[in-house]
Amino acid sequence: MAFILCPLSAFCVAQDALSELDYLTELPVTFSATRLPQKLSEAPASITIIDRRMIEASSATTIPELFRLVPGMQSYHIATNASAVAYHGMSDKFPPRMEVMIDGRSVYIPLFSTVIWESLPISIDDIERIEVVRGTNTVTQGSNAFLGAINIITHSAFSPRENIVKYQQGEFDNKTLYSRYSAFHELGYYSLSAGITGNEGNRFSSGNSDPYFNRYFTFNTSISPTLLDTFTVNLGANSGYSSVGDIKSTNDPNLPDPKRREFETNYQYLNWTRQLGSEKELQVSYSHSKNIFDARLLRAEETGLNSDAQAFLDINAPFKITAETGNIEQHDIEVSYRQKLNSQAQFVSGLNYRSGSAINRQILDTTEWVNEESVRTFINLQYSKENWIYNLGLSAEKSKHAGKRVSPRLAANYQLSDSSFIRSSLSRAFRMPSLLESNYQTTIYAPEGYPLPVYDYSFTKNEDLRPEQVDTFDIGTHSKWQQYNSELDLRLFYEDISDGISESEISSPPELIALLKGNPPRTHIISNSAQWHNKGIEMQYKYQSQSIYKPLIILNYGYIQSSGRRILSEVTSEIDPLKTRNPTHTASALASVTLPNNLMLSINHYFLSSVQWIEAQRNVEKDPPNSPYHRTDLKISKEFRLSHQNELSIALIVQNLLDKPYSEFYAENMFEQRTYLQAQLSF
Amino acid sequence: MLKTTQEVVTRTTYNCQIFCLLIAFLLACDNVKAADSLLLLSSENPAYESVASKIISQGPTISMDTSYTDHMTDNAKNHLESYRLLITVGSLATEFAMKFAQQNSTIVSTFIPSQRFQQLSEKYSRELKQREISTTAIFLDQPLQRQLKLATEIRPQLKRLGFTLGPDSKYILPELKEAAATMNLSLNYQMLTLEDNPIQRIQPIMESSDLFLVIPDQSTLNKTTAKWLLYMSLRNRVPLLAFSQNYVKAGAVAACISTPEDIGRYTAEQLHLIAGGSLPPPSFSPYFKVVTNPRIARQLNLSIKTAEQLQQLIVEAETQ
Repeated sequence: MAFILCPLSAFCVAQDALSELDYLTELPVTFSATRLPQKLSEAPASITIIDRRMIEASSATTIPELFRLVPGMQSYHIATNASAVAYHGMSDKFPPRMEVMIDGRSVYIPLFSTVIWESLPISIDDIERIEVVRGTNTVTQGSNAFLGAINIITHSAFSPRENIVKYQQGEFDNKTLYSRYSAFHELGYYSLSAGITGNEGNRFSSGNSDPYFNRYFTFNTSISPTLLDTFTVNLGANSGYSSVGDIKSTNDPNLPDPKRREFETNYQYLNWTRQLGSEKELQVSYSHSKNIFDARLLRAEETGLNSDAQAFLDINAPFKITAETGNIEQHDIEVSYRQKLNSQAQFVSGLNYRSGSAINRQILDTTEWVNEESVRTFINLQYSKENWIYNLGLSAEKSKHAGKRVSPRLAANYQLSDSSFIRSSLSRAFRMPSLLESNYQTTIYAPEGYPLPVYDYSFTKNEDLRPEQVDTFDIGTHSKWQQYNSELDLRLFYEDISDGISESEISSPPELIALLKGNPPRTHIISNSAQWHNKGIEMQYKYQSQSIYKPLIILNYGYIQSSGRRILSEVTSEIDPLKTRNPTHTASALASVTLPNNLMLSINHYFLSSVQWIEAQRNVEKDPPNSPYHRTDLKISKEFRLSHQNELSIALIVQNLLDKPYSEFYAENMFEQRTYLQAQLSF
Repeated sequence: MLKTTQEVVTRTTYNCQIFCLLIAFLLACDNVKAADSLLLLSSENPAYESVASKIISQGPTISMDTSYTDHMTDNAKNHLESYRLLITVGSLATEFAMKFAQQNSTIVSTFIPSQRFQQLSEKYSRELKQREISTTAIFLDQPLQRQLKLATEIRPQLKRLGFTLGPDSKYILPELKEAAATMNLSLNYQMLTLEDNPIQRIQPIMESSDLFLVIPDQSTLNKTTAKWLLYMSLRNRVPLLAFSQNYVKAGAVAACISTPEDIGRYTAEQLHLIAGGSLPPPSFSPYFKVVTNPRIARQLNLSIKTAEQLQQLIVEAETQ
């Protein structure tokens, strides 16, 4: 523990006298890259901000769709009501290399090594802004932020419209009702938010469908008993169902057959912020979350086995129709201290403890809770001298299974002119194996009467799994021309990923062969069997003016070249070259104007070049890649001022306006035209 | 790096280059003959250098050395021994000069909040009197009349003015009462200290005011207060009148501000008077500008004039 938090003496509040510099100091805005109050141009990483204006202009009806507006980021539907979001591709249904936080609380599910977006107790209407750190940010947010991080900030006290009721109806018989209410009491403010959303899903040729339902409730409050203390309490819960399973082409007329999965979540987040002086701050936070993913038990007649089916199910109980279930419980405690040392230097350091436990017999091979713990300490230091701004970050993490790793980042930004900065950074980051990756094991036990205790196994736990590593070199520019209402960010990057964690086939170890007397001789493990590098360029341009018609133009482009290898089978030496696992071009554009009488017109356009997603196109030789696609969306909305404080807003959203169906993830997962109508009353 | 407003940063970069050249020139001159005057900066902050640069380029042609307080901490009295005129930029430099200035010297304190100057003058009143040191000042903040004029332009029907006072600002109350009486305004105020609950203190004021004036103080500069002030302003639809561009950016509806260049320019003018033999009293800069936040004004359903129009109106009122 090289970093020491503030001494106890710091609790004595310095009564700093008013100074002339107080007239010039900005009210700080903390950005996610370092947790220090920084301007975008001072940050050691490229950051995309999706603010409320962009959200309202976009055609997105769900949160993952917003990430199409981030250069280099891919957002894709893996089913009608399930999405995945990846940065720099190389992903399957479960992109693992990006941290996602809502108001400072991680929503990464360690049992699935990803975020289950459709199960989150949040709606797009809850969001005030999103900060996306493009590039590794493990220094600040821990090892899950391996290639990037998404920080969702929900409506705060500053929201101009406090109370909202919104109704949406649309594709797949979608019906959504959302409401938010906020008020304040004598110590602070609170807000309540609730939503119910659902749809019938897609009706497949097999006659099956994948309906969706989510109802949730959140309560946020912020209390300031003194000017020096602020307590924040966020609580939430939801329940609902969605579907899992592959939507793949097959000759079986009964397929696809999506499996219904029910989910339940509850979380509690507590934060205490204490100002220890004008430029010193201590924060203590604790979060707890519980996720339950459940599905019905597999019935004997569905096993394909004969008379022993029930006996098999009994000894392997509980055996669900899908393995993508389980209970997950997480605790996260963090203490951090921030101080501005002088006009040139500031730092933040902290200590974090995270514990995740999960239970799932089918993929963890036990009916007991499996636990992973990690302790992390970090420091970010910013130092400015003349036209240079240096950011030094260091994070040391120790996990129960993968040992210790230190992730450093060194960045230097140079101010070229009043409006432009050059940014460069060098970093090494590690991602600790998730709970699933460290413990993945599947075994089918044989019932009594069978000569051997084990009937089959397909995944074996890898005791030697190491953290994966990325070395990044990043150079970019950030320019903000206020007179032209424009902002441009360019990023050139080189990422070298080694010890990449991936699934691989191996010869069965002797002890397993002995169990089954040599049959089957092969199994799968999660191993450090991949390595690749990415190089490319990303550009984001924003024009936003408050002048007549309030024009907003966003242009994003990402170009990436990947090469490397993933060992698919150590037995057959089959290699996945990974070259096609990343879409070379990712682009998006958003243009919006507000005409007289509050009539807003927005056009969104998205482009993704061809890609072979891992899992969706398992065999790079045989499975054709998804074709490149262009998609144009339209949003028209009009606001009616009903009274001094009341406003009615009606919106029409047409996604895929030109009705050119294209494949997302699975070739058969077609995205056709979707239309939604929204009505919102603000008061 | 200190976060300064955009216009400060923009002007400062250019001014710093000039300032460095001027300092080099002055240091060269210093080798020939010791100066009578010292331009003392609180630190190397670009804002101070910006003020100093204007003073040097537009002030009277007097022999003047330039230095920073942290270069003089060892043997401070000796350092200041030879100077009869001390032009101090910022609070730190002013306090340093009040502590160590020689007998019969004059301190011109500039770029300092009026309340800070008052505090320091009281703190060192005995020493200043003993050493017969004359002082004057050019304040960074804005005169009350100017702010109240802006308030009435923002809210023409203004009757009830709300504000909070803290340890740094409580002395302003008599002056506020006097100004309010001449304008027929009633005052709603509360004392606010760091140990107080901001909601309980601010909300009753906000509820019963037509406009809230943010008076600089450690309590209103506090991040928590700023957050709640902005929040309650929107909730109660009561406009905030602030004291800095950054407060306006964050959600206040308007403010009068003087930039470091404005202060430097006015200080240079005052130095011409001093060079001519008179010592003007402490004063606020007549150079200022108005900044507004039209987005917030719209949210508050306020129809306000442009920043330029508001500035013009205030200037006209002050010249009458």
